[in-house]
Amino acid sequence: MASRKPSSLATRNLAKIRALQVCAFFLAFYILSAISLMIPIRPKHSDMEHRDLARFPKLTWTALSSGSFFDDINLWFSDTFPFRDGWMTMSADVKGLYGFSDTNVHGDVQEGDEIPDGPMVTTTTVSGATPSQTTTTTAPTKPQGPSETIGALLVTGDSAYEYYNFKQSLADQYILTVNRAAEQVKGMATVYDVLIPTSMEICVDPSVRAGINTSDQKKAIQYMYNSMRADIKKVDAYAALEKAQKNGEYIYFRTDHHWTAMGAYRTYEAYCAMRGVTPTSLSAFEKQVYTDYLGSFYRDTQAAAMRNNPDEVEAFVPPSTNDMKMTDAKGQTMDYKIITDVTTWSELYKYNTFIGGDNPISVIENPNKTDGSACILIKESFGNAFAPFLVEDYQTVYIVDYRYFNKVDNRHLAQLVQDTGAKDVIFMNNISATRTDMLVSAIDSFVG
Amino acid sequence: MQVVFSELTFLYVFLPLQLALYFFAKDIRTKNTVLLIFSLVFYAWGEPVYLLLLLSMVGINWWIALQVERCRQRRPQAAKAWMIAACAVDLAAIGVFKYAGFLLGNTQMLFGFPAIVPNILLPIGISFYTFQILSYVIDVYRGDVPAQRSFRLLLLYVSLFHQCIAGPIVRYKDVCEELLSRRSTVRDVSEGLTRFTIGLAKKAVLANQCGFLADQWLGTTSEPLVASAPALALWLGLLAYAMQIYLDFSAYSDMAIGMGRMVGLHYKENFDYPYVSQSVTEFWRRWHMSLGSFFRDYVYIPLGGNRCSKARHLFNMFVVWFLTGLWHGASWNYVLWGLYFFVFLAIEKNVLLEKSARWPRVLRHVYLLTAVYFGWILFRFEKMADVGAMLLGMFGLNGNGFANFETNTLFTGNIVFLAVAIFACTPCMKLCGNVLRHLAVNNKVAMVVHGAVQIAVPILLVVLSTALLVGNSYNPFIYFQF
Repeated sequence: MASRKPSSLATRNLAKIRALQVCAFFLAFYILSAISLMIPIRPKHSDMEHRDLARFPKLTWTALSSGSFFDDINLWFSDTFPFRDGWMTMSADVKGLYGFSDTNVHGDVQEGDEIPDGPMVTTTTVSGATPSQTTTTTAPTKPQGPSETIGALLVTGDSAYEYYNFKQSLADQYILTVNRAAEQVKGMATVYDVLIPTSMEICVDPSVRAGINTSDQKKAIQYMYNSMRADIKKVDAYAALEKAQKNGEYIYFRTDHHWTAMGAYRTYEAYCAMRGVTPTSLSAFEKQVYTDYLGSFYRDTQAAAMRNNPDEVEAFVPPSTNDMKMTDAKGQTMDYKIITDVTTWSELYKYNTFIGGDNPISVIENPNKTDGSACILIKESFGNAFAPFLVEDYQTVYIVDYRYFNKVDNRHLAQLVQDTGAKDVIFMNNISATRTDMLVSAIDSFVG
Repeated sequence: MQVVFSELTFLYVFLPLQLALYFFAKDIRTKNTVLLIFSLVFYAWGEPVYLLLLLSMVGINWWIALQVERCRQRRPQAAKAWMIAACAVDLAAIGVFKYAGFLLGNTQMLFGFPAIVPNILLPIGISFYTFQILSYVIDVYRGDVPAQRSFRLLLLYVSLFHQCIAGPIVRYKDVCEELLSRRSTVRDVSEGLTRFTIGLAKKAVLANQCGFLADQWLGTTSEPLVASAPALALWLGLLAYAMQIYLDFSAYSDMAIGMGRMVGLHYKENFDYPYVSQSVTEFWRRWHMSLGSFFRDYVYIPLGGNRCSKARHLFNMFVVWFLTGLWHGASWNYVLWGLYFFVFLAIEKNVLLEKSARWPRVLRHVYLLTAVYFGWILFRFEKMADVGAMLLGMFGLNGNGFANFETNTLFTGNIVFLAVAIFACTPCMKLCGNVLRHLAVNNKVAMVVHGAVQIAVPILLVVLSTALLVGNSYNPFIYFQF
């Protein structure tokens, strides 16, 4: 390239551009800086990530000298950055340009344990399982941390599926807990166990699943069911959901780890079959539809494809009543709706239409029944969509969220069965719960 | 964790405040005070206790350098003694804080003593600022620079936040005049901010993602997955790692140089697109140049350089590369990494450079890339077992097959990114910019395009970097163990 001395016009133009650049840059830069310093507009909670954001640290001498005070300021500053959700959406959109694949794996895939072919070998101690206290005076331990952690996700376009890694020690602890529960309530009530497979198992083609590192849920459920006592009724949710999937029913959310009310209903049918009763027909329920639902998978990945094709939440209101009494984590009991109208709610929260979300205990009285029948549903959040279908079958439905029950009530299962006179006790968990330490421990503690 | 340039607090609180105060200050003395205060705050932000170490080191060396200068003319032996004393103090400091654990770990292995190896926290930047201080004292001894009478100014030189933590290793003689008298014109600020934003984006957009991919494919440095990963994951992971180190480290140098330029300080380049090299010799003239020149001027040449017997020359090189490796980390794998290059350099100097001159360029380039690529294995894994597992795995000998679903999807999901990252390791972008500017001189349209690019790109890069940094806890800096 021949270098000519630039004309004075060109030199002046280049200088002008530089001046403009400096002005424009610092204008933008200082505006951003000013925005970032506007402390009142900093978010305190992220709907997207479902958590409270970092707080400004307390000033103490130890924090100051160790440097942790400054580290925490850094954390607070970036965690509560104004318009955080907007920035993260931009970030996710940019990252969407990084490659061509519609399919990607989000998060760290954990290796699952080998699933034994036979039932659990009952020895006096199972490695990793913490034997529970038999004394009824000790209150159950409180679970710490987030109540539901999502494992790695397989994301294909607008759908995601959660990886499942079987954990022998936790599965065994779960088995022992349910067995113990059956022993404790023997003669008082029948124990039903419902293990729900997730969409990874039911909706993903087996050939695809074979090539990825997710444990065999069917085998895992079989293992756990086969290891449970004979007097525990094991509900075959798997078969019901598999059949519904074949029929093209919308039984799992694409953008959320939960099943839909339809998936819950099909399992309710299987539950009734186990009980030997006729399930209430779906047409008896009043159907509500809430559109634009973006759940936990969206929160985790912020995938644009999901944003553009959200889920919808179908809810079925029981014919007898839509009222229930709910006790929140602070111990306050209030009237609430079984199915809440969430049309105007944020798209991230629409699953909360079911029994007002996750609360320690809720009680539904069916005004049309006087036979004193009662059941206790011991559940995590999957049970929320299931509970409304029980309303027609019992005079009273007690819904216990084992993760939060101990916040308001010290009673263990056996005492609760005695006090309520319930004849049916239903343990309901999606299979991921049986590999989550905190959840299995919570059930263990609740049974006591 | 220290405030690093790619932290949002640095970007939106520290830097705007520093620049504003700097430019409002009227005279050089006030400006320097602004820089000094901000540098000390910057250093103390992460590790307030070690600020005392920094201040002590500067204090001791400041005083000794004055003695050296006092004695230089008439008592050269005394001057030499002072200089050696300063070096001893400096090397002792870095020796204790950085290498004590390593040394004691080795004695424990060999002699069973001591029973417990203490775990000493590494003061941030010690490897960089110690070398800066050493260069100062030695240059005073050599008469290359007058000693700095003002403790304040020497402290400014050593602690200046631009380069204290992550380099480049700036020589005192390169900035001593500018410290006292400098201007920053619009051109300086313009080129400085451009350089800074390029570095910022290189780090926040490219290096961080490369680091993420390397950790996904190889496992983290504390928990490597090499024994269970398929071959493709290992090859891709090493590629990502090789790019991460370059992009990360050169990004910090870019930001340092850019910020220096904005206030009228000119630092020498530290990286010159090393991955375009055609020999290991050339690579080390383009990679971390400030370290290479430090060892050349203060170890290699004093030992005799290449003006001696062949055997002695080889020995000199051996020492330099042993130390280069050791500087990078207090662990044998880093030493091996340095010596790995020593072997290549020895072969090149004696035989290969001549021979390869007749090869096609592409072949020379492939040779260099292969040598450097495999070298990074030694850099990443401290345990030799992991190095072995890595090599076995790469050649399909660990029984994990060639690829798996997760590896493939991560690859296809990042294939465009990887191409961009590779592109960023070459000078193509810079050349395009230069071409555009040349065209702009004579062509109105080109001038408009050039102007639009100049004005829009820095802002876009800052916005993009911010988006990627918000809520991204993944912001590693490998060279931070220095």
